[in-house]
Amino acid sequence: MQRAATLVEILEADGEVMLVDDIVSRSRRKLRIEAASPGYDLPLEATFEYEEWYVRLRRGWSLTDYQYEVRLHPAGSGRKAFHWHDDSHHVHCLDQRSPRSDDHYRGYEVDLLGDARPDLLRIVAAGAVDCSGLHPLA
Amino acid sequence: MLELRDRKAFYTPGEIAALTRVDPKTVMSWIHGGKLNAVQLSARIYRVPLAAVIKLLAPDQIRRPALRRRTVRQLERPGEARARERRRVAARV
Repeated sequence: MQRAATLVEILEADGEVMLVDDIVSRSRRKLRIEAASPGYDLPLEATFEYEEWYVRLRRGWSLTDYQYEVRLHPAGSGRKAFHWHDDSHHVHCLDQRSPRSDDHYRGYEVDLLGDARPDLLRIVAAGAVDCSGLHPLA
Repeated sequence: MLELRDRKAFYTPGEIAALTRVDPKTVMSWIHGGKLNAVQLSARIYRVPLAAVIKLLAPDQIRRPALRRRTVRQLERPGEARARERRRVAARV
């Protein structure tokens, strides 16, 4: 799958790519990429996890689900994730300043490189997750 | 290994300019042209990840894990594992 190589080529400018996993069954496929920030032997500040699920169609692989996520370290100090599964686009957000932390928030379809990646990298550069402006799922 | 004094997670464009001995405007042109990966924190504030600095100045030092490709009989979507667990719990009650 060319997408794995393309993503690694881009994401390796955000941190040290630690894992590229491509799991294939007869009809489905899962791509998982993990990266550490900053990497390169510096203390861990955050981990990026990008997972995509595909189903095989006649014209090729079609994206059906995704989970794009950043976790700040130490564990529990912040998390933001864009999820699409069970036909639901939603956001998980853990902000230590928010009493409603780690709830499900209303989401929308995001593109990994165009939407999720810059947002998640911005969180790591700022050193904090900000969940303000998100609306809880009803 | 690329020798960067005081290595850190993110650099300012000014620090990249000093490292590479170019004008800060040149660094901004690299960022806007896509040659240098940076994150925009506000209208005028950018930060460059360490990995992007290495990729620009010493691309041979970029670490790439091997692609792990596996074939499995069955692969679940994320919601299916949860649904299976709910059915299992419901069957026990």
